[in-house]
Amino acid sequence: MKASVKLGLWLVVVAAVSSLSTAALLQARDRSRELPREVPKSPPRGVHLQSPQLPSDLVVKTHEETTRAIRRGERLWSDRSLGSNGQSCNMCHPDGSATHPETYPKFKQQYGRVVTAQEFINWCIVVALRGPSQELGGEVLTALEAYQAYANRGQEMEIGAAGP
Amino acid sequence: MESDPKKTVDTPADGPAPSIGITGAGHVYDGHRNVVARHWSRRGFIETLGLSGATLVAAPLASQFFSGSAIAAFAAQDFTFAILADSHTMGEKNPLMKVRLEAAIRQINAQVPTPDFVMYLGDAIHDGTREEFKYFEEIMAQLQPRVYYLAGEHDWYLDMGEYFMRHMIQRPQPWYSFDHKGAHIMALHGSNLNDFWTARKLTPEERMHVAGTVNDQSQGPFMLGRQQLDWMEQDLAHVPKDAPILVFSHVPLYYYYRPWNFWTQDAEDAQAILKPFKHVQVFHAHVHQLVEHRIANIRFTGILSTSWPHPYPETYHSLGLSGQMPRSNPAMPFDGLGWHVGKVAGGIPGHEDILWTLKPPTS
Repeated sequence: MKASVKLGLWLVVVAAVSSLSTAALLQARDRSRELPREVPKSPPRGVHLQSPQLPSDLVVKTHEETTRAIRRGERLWSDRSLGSNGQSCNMCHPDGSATHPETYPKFKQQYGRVVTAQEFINWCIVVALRGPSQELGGEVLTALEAYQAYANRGQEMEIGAAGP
Repeated sequence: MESDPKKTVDTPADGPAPSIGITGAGHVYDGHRNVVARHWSRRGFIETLGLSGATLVAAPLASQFFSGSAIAAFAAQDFTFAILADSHTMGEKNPLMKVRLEAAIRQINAQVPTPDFVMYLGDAIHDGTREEFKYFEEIMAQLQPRVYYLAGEHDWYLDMGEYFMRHMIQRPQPWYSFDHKGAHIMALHGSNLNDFWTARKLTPEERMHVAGTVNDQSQGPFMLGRQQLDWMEQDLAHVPKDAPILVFSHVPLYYYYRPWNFWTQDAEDAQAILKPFKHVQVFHAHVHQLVEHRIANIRFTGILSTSWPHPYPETYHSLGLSGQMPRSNPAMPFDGLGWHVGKVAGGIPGHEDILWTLKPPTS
């Protein structure tokens, strides 16, 4: 094949690919505006800004899936059938208050050892709500943890701050 | 709802409870707030009643429970009462609520001196069903002193107060007042919501769920309403300005925290009506926490529940509130809960807090 034709073909391919990815980027930007998104005015120290090389569909998928988990957690937070005694997380912890996820993992006297936030949510389900123990890392506890973290967003990380 | 034309809003269900008080201003009034004689002298009053001077004992001038100046010896008699609220019993499936309420009842029955009466400030049950109410009433039958009730939103919004009015309030209106040993007592219906359910076509259960969720703002703000505010004004018209006034409400009668409906929309109207009185103490429930506030002449005390404690919202600090309880350990069944002893001594209202975090009830 002649070099100029080859070059021409190349240019066409590159143009096509770049226009496709631009379109995808544009589409990605629009979709991400629909999702709840908290953008801090100035990023906290030590956090790396998202690399511009991060694929846009990954950003979108992260937002979508995380938001889905947060919304599921919000529903479970008020679910009175998580336990058997008719209580829900929302009664003692309206809007995720008094949960302090920013202090976990930490020693909890109820366990006698250092536990993660999910483990302590599970403790509350078993003891306070009198419900069945949930699978650690499973969908239910992950959703509850996601909602708890979302409700307390902006808190400074303070691992190990003591609590009752 | 039975309505007896002879009964007025301030007549207790089991008959009139007369109380005679002589105040510093010289007014004499009985339990129905008829001013018997405006300008009777103290001596004239004593002679008419056949009392001797010795029976009118001077009230103590100062007490360690109360700050501020004590009023003169002509004030109301000293007495105590118990304050209980927010048991949120859910029937058989939640036996721990029963254990907690029974612990409070045992402590109240053991209280020395015996409280003159118990004020129950609402949210007796959680879902408003007949079974829950009957379960609650069976437990409360163990209480020895007489109980006065007022409604919380949980007591009301399943059947719009039908059961509660017939069995607990037993008066034509959910608000009422009476006098007791010279103190004027008002029980208000604070957990009053504008109609949020008709337009949304909610079932009674859905309505109860919305009204009963503390952070569901679609229920709208609580309010006393014009009719009740007018009643308050008329009711207070003949009460002497330095008589101790005890106001009971389910919701806080001030703007505490709107996102959790710790709020009364017409609070400032109520505060204005109470403004001319020297000694006003408001006891309210709903917040499930110990919290104290003061606006001008009015002291507000949020009382403990016997179901679960609430965290303190951020406005606790911005409003400069006080009376914070220590953080609860969720493994301890009595943490963050309790009840209160209300008092009038030397004509001044006060209270003592029985906070179980500091001293759990023994079996």
